Amino acid sequence: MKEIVPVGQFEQLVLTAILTLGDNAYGVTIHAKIEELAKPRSVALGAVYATLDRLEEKKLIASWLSEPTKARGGRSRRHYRLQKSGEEALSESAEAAKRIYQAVEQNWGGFKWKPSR
Amino acid sequence: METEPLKAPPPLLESFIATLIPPAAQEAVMGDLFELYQSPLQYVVTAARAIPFVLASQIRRQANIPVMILQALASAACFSGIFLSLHQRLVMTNLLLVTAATMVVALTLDVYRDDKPTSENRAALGAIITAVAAVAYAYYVLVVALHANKFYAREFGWTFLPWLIITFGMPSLCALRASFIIGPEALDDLDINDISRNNLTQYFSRFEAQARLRNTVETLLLILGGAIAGVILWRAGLSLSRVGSLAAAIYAASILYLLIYGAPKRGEPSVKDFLHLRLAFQQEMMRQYQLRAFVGWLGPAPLVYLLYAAAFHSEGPTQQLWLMYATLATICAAFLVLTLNRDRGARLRGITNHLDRLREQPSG
Repeated sequence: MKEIVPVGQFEQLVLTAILTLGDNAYGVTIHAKIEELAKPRSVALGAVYATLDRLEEKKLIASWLSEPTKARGGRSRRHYRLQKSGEEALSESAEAAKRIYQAVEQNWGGFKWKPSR
Repeated sequence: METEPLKAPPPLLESFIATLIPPAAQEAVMGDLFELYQSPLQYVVTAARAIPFVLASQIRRQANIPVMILQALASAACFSGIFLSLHQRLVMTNLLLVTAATMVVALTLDVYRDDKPTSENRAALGAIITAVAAVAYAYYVLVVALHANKFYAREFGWTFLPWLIITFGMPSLCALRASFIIGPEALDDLDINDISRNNLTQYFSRFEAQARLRNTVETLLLILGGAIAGVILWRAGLSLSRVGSLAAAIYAASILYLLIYGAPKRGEPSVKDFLHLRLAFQQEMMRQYQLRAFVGWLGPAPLVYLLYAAAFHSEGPTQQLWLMYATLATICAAFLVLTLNRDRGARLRGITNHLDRLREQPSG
């Protein structure tokens, strides 16, 4: 059986952001998407860089530099893309989240939490 | 058509922030900060919140524990030699503090190092500073410490040695340093402008084959160096102390580590896409660079070990003299290994940056 690389919650957010952004996934857009996904939590840009670096080291994502643009003061963007192993890890996490959701929904009869006592 | 941004950070502020960001991440991070710019205060706050993460990330990426341990051992040997030969006593707390500080400085400098190879002028200056420091230390031990104890080096017939260091030491270091700069390195002929996926596969395979050969040769040389040191130790009747046995065990374990992890794993480039292949190539280059650094620190170990063994088997002023030679050998070896690793690291960062910009070309 193929081993799937385990990913943490923040790593799942980063992978999801890269997946949804497609070809436009780079530092600024990934950070904005994560802020949107993690609401109301605020996320530091640096934390995104560190996680991207870690995910690349785990070979879950790959990166490349674009052409320099004036909008960035003549600098390149570092674009990111999910690797096959990253897609598998994200899919596995989504399945787990789905199972959690179903279990919670079954017990509470909906996703709205009600205090039991 | 691309338009000029409405707001841009003040150039001075931008240059200052750029100096705080490790070069490997500078392009992407500075571009992102530029894009997010609203006001100088917001710019500084965003940068201040991002830089510690970027720094930690780069340190984690570049730090290699076995290499750091060897580097720390070499630093500790060097400082203990200096303390013992100058003050004839060793305070462990001081030694640990100085070694730890050296390691922190070395690690930070490594992260902030760019991909430009050292210029000849800078290399010569570095060599001259190291040589002058080594000669000054030797003179202090010989003239101040030993002379004060009424010990004259002529008893050993070695009084000419400092003169040899002055005469030949500095030019030798400069020549060695220059040879490292102009010396050939694998992948120097990498034509980054016209590379297809097939080319990259070929480069990768060639790099792996070279690395395997080099690792085998270097492992054999390390074993040979250890064996020669063992024979000299035995012939000179020097027994292994507890610390000496530990050092020998570390050396043997390091060779074992190299034997196990030295040979690169055979990849299957044909089934990988371009980005995956490129990433695998970059990671393998980094792994091999770290192994080279590791071997570099191990190389001079037998010689340094023998000199320290001789020092600890003698007494009084003679011991001071041996300690001085052992320390000088450690300083010179550390200088050469550090400079060699620095240039290799710059080359590696240069190639990695070029690879980052590669586009996949239709092959054939």
